[in-house]
This record gives sequence, C-alpha cells and structure tokens, in this order.
Amino acid sequence: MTGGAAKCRGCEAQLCAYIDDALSFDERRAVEEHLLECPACAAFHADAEAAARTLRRAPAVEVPASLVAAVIHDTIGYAGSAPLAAGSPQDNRAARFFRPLFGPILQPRFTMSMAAAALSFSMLTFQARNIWQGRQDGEFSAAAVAASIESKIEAVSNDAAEFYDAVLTVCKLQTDFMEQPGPELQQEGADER
Amino acid sequence: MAVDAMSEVCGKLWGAAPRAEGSQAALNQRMERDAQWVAECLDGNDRAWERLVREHSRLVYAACYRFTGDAETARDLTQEVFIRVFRGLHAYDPKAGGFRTWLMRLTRNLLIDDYRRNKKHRLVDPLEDKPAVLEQRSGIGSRADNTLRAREANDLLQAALSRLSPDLREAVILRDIQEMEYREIAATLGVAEGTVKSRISRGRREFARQLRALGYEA
Repeated sequence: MTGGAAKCRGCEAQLCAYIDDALSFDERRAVEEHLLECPACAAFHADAEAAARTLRRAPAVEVPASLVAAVIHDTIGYAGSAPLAAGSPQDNRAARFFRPLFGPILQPRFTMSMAAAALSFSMLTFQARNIWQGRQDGEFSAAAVAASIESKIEAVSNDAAEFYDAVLTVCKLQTDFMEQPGPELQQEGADER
Repeated sequence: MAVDAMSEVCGKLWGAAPRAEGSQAALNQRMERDAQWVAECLDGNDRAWERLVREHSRLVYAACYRFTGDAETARDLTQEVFIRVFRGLHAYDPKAGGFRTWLMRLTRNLLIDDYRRNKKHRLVDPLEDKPAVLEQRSGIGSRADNTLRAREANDLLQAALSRLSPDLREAVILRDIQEMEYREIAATLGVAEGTVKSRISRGRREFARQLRALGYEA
C-alpha cells in the first residue's frame, strides 16, 4: 500500500469505510480477501483499526461551565444585539436601538453597585440631618457634637460594612449561578453518553 | 500490538464503548431544528440564539481542544467562532447545507488560521517532559490512581494527535471524535468524500505510529 502498488490504490479509502462498517457485503468481502493476501494492507488495517478504537473511546471533552455564558455575553449581552436580517420586517428596531444604550447599565453588578451607593448616600444624609436637628434643639456643645458625630460615624460605618457584606454575598451567589452549566447542556451530555 | 493495548487501557479507564451512529432521520430532524432556531435568531429571538450556542458549544469547543491541545486557546477560539457566527448568521443559507456543517467549516477555518499563525511558536506536546507515560500497573488502583492514569492516557492521546499534520488531524478528529458523517466532513473541509476517507485512514495509521513513537509499548 505504502509502496503504491496498483492494486492497493484506493485501499486507504476502502479501509476507512471498512473500519467504519460503511461498505456493502460484496465490498466488505473484497476488502477481507485483499487483506489476506496483502501484508502491507493488513498491517495498515491493524494500526488504523486500533487507532480508531482508541480515539472513539476518548472521553468527551468537558466544556468549561462559564463558556456558554461568556459567549452569550459577548454576543447578545452587548451592543449589536441579535444578528440583523437584511430587510426583515420583524427587525425589532426599538430594542436594537435601546439595548446598546441601556445594556451596560442593566448589567446586574452595575445595578447592585448603584443601589449600594444610593443607600450609603441616603444613610449619610439621614445621619447628618439628625446631627443638625440635635444642634437646633439647643444641645450644642463642642464635646456633645464631637461625641455624637463619632458615635454616628461608627454606626454608619458598621451599617455600611454589613451592607457591603450582603452585596458581596449576593454578587457571589449571582456569579455562581451564572457559572452553573445550563440544564439543557447537562442533559445533552447525558444523552451523548 | 501497542495500539491495541493502548485501546484496551483507554477502554478500561474511560469505560466508554464506541458511540452509536446517528440515523439519517435524526440527522434531518437536527438540521430542521437548527434551521428553525437560526430563523428565530434572525427575527431577534435571543433565546433561540442561546439554544443554538448551548447545542453546539460542545462540538466547537471539543474540536478546538482536540486540535490545539490547549484548553485556554480552545476557549478563546470557541468564543471567536460564535462571535463570527453571530455576526454572519444572515449569510447562512439553510438550502446550501446544515447549520452544523457551516459552523464546523467556520471553526475549521479559524483553527487553520490559528495553526498557521502559531506553528512557529507552539508545538503542544503534553508529554515532552514525561518520558514514562501510562505505566502498566498491577493490582487494583485507587480512585486517585485511576484518575491520574486517565489523565495520562488523555495526555498521551492528545500528544499523538498534536503530532499529526493538520490535514490528517482534522479528518481524524471530525470522524473518530466528533463522529461526523463522511458527507459532512467533506462539506466542512471542502474536499471529495474519497479524499476524506483517505485522510482519515492515513490519520489513523499515523496516530498509531505516533503512539508507538511516544514510547507506548505493550
């Protein structure tokens, strides 16, 4: 075969189909007869068959859990949106116009950060108003204000720390959730097996 | 024979029997479903795109991983493939062939580009520093031992694959690992079915030779 003997020409293709069981009965018998009389082709066949068996038993490659999410994010998660079909009547132009504008803002992490900032600001405002009111009520003295401010700052910082812990936990949960492989993919894996 | 023994060891380690061929009816059904999803995608249905990605990401990633032998590169290439598919989806014509074939043709083109770009720098060989591979051990090994052996067997397989020329490597991967039909492979690679079979055969034989060259002797 490797020497290019005339009768072995085309044997590579036939042996491939033979190993894959894609030949008719007659073709199969012809290949088997040839293998009996041609040691070169027989050796080729033995190697190729063993290799095919090994390769087919290779474990299925596991797709990284976050890959699908990353692909979705890289495509429909950003500007550009769904692929445009030229002249399609159902182009959904409004969605395509607004998604690039609001898409990044509506990302969960950005929204959470904004919520945290708003809450911190409102808490500071609330505490400042309390201090100001205390001063208005005639409790003004340097020591009292300093003590009040100190205790308020400590309370605010404690509250803020607790709040950020909660935000971190939520973000982590959300990230873990995003990185879980979808049920469809797991099912596919089970089917393939 | 060495490769027979390798096959036997792989079979024991991975416990996987050769997978059954998909029927023509199942193939047609899949093509129709893909075409439907593509049409929905073009109508702006994001869920349809997500389904397409979930359905085919394994195929693309596995092809990239087996071809390059590197998980990080495979990940990057898979992302690039789907971005290109997404941008060019309107150019896909279901009458010209199945979505899977179109997808794999794109994947293949990207893999060949990557190969040409990096062939001077990268020669992935997971076994370069490990001359003693897949030792035959007696007795029943622990689970950790089996895991290690499975990893070594996988490295060995990957190393042998990475030593094949790109033409033979892609043919063998598409047929024996991705289990694609000759017709699909021919359409993916843009060559005749006879050429595909010939490349698969030579690829298989070369793979067996490379296993031996890597020191795997029964």
